[in-house]
Amino acid sequence: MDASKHPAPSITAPPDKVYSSVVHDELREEKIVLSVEDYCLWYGAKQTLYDVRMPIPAGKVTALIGPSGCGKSTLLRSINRMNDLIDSVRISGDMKLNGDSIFSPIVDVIQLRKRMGMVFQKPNPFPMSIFENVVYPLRIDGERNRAVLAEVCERSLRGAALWDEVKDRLQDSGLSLSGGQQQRLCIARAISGDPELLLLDEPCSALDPLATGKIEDLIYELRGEYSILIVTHNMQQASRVSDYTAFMYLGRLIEYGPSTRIFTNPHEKRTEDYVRGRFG
Amino acid sequence: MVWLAGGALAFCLAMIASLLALILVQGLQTFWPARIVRFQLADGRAVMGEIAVTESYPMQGNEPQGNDPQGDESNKPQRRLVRTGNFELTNSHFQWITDTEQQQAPTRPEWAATVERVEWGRFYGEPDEYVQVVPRHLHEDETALTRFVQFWSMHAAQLPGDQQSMLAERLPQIQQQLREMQTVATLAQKRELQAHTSPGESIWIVLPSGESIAADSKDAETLVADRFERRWSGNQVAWQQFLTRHAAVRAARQRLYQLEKHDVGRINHEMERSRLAVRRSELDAGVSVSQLCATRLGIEQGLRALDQSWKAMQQQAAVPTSLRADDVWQNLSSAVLANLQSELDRQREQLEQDLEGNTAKIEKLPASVRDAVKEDSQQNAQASGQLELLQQEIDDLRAQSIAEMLAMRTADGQRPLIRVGEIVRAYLANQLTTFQRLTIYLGRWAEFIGGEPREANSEGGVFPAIWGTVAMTLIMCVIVVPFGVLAALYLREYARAGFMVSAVRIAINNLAGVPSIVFGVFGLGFFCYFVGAFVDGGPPNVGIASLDRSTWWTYLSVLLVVSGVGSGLLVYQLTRSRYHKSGWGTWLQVASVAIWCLAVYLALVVVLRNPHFGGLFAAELPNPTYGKGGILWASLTLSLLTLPVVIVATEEALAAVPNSLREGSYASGASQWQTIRRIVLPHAMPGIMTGMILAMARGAGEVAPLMLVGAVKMAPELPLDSIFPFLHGERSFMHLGFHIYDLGFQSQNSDAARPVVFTTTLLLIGIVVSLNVLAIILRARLRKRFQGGQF
Ligand SMILES: Nc1ncnc2c1ncn2[C@@H]1O[C@H](COP(=O)(O)OP(=O)(O)OP(=O)(O)O)[C@@H](O)[C@H]1O
Ligand SMILES: [Mg+2]
Repeated sequence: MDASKHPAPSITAPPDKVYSSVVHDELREEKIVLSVEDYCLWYGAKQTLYDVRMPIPAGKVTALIGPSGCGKSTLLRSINRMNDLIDSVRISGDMKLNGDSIFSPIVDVIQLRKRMGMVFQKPNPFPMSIFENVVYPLRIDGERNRAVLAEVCERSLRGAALWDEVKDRLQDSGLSLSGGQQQRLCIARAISGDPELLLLDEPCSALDPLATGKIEDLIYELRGEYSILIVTHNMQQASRVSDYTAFMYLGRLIEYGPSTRIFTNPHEKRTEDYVRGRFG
Repeated sequence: MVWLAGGALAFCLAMIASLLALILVQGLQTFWPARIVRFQLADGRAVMGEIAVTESYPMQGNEPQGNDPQGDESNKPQRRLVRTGNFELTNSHFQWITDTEQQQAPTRPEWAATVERVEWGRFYGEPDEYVQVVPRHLHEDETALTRFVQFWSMHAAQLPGDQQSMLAERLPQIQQQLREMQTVATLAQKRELQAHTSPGESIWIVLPSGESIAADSKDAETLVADRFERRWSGNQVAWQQFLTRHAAVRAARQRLYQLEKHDVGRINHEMERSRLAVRRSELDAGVSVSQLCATRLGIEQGLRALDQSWKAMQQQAAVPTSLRADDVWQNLSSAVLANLQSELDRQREQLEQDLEGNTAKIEKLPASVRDAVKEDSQQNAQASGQLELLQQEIDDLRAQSIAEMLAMRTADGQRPLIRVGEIVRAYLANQLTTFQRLTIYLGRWAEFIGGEPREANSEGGVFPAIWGTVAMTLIMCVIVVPFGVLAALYLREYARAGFMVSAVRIAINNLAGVPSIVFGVFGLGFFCYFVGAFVDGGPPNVGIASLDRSTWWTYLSVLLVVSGVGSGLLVYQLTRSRYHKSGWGTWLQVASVAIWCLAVYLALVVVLRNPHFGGLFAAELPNPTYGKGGILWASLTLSLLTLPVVIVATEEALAAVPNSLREGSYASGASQWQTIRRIVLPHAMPGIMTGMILAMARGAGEVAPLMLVGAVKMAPELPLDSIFPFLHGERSFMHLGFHIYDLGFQSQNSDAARPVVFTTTLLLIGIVVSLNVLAIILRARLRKRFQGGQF
């Protein structure tokens, strides 16, 4: 679908210079799991994302940084079409997950979401046992075989580095865990369906430093096995855990490249200002 | 300001507390066995009973003034409302007695007893004598001889003249023989009874004239007793005897009641069923056989009667053993009997001919009707056999239950006999220990909760009312909860917030404010008189002309097409990606709404004007089955009434489910329904339960609409029982709330009913409160499970 079918938003096109985002060459050599293609998004009449064009490399950790309100969460929620839940949203452009269109009219949203995992800012374990929490994605697919469920549960909990802490209390409520454990439980839930892409929206912002450290270690561990897109406000975190970093500003992708380059020697002035903490 | 607000709260609390206290005190003390007080009145009368109310009353001008000018409370004249019972003697249950009427201070007679009876209410008096009637044993040949005498006094005319004179000669001899036999039997039994008397017991002979004579008097030697009486005289002896015999006699009487009510009822029910089957087949086949059936019934009864009288005659004509020696009797008997038989045979032949004609006519009927009629006549034959058997048992039990009586002496010296079988409970009110009082108290509560009402509901139990209330509330729950929850789910989870949703929500909230009697009127008009009548007799019964068959089929096929198109549109709309709306989306929506309206209209026509539906209970018409108040309609009416409660509570519960949980579920790839079923509903369950319980409490306590749609003063059958199909939606039922209203305001004997009003109220409040407590516990447990330890 092309943008011409949508009524033009009541926003004057920004000057050409701002449009161009800098994408470093390193990304061209990567295998791409998700490619965002000229993606725009409106909340009602207000445009929030402007022509985002952004390839997400497979098997790597990509961090999304930018000042508050610049549209990071909006972009992330667009990828698994959580924005469908908001009535006023309109879009143009498309994304491709391993080559399959995400916004094409024939796409089954439910099946699409099953191909990704998502972890939210606030831990949101379901009010059920730890076991049921982890195997929830399988349960809704109608999986009944206890052996399969148990196996997936153990694998996911090990993947989320939570197995040793909860293996004796799998039938306890998910709500009985601590905040950090709950967030890791959510990560376990997100990876139990073997997602092609893992979306993390500020997964550590509600946690104390110790729990944050554990999650960061976990993300580090998961690199290679999963493709991860993580939104964060924490520069150190971004530089520590990510291979690539994208800087967004006012709904636009400004600069996107290897984290080392972005944090030490960015191409754009605004990126440099932001990572040096001069605004935002 | 704080004081004002606090004061208002305190005032409210005090009012509620005093209301509860009043009900609690009144309700709890009603069943406590009170002492009996005897008043000797100045005009010579004496009165005995329980004091129900004591109050001071303003002095009249002509009354003697007390010396104390201060008018101390204790010196003011008082009057008492005394429950005097003995309704059959005094025509009232209560009596006011003022201080000034009394001749001397009231006393508490030691032997005064309170007697609760099945009929006529309480009796207060002193046990005086216990009477047990014993039928006289018959001499072994006595019955046959009596019958034989009867036989000949009836049929002597059939003999030739010479034999008649011989008979006239011999009959007095036989009678003399019979009398001797009876005297011997009487004497033997008198001796035997006398040999086994217990202390205080005396034996009396009752003559056929009803006169009774003490067995040990001189002239008792040559009497013929109709029956004997064993009498235990004196307070103590009589009471002791009563205590030992009461349970057994009462059990017989209760068994009798069971037989009369349930077993006979069941047989009648079966007969009614087969009659209805005939009627139904009649309606189906379009013929009328009621005349035929009635004739057949008459003929069959006639035949049975013939059989019986023949049997009776044979019995009568059988020569008694004591006359066997004389051949004459045998010959006479056989001759007359042969005569009689030919007469009977002639009658029988006539009847059988009639029956044949009748059968021939029935054979010509359509097969279904014929079978039903045959079935019916078989059923009738079987039923009359069963009834005969039952009648035997009933007669025996009745004899047993009226054979024993307690003579009670009232305060003013009368001495009526009270049948022991009709005494529910009796106790010596002034001799009880506290423990005995407690036993009686608890026994009365047990009877109240588990028993059936008597005496226009003012005595006995309220079990049917409890049962009716609970059954109705449960049915209501089963209806209202799914509907309310689905409606709330739609409003909260599916509908897009907007004008329509707000309008619907406001309408629902307003529904909660409509006076409940309005729901009653609606329920009566819509459920009973429209839906019910439609179910009973199909379209004609509610004044709708049914379509002719071909038109109806056309309508049906159009309906199928239209709803097919509608569903197609719906599916298309639902599956369309919401990011790719085409230009004519609004038109599509309008079209789909229009199509659904059309479909609903067509569906109504197809259902309401269905020519193939003649009603499920057409056979019973013009008696309505569902076309009147019944527990199903009452439950439906109350469901409407409580729907807002459930919807509002559920909506609140749904709104309280954190959005993060929904998002988490969607992000895991769950559909909306899966999210609702697995995440939202379990989380909202405590709130939904709260709504349900509130609805139950509201429904259980509602009275006004029920009076219109099915609650009655006295329901013969329970709406929920062990007879298929278990739930009888058409039956009217008893309800605690209505029971209270009825006792308190509709009862003729309102003084006697008043205590029961309080106990019933207490029970109703108890049920409502326990429902609420149950809800709170359940909710707390669920909440712990679903909303435990937030970090
Ligand atoms: N449901 C919504 N309706 C309308 N506007 C929205 C909605 N959600 C977000 N926005 C707006 O879109 C813009 C981007 O929001 P978004 O949540 O993507 O920012 P963000 O980069 O994630 O910020 P933060 O770092 O604070 O989380 C903001 O200006 C916000 O006000
Ligand atoms: Mg955000």
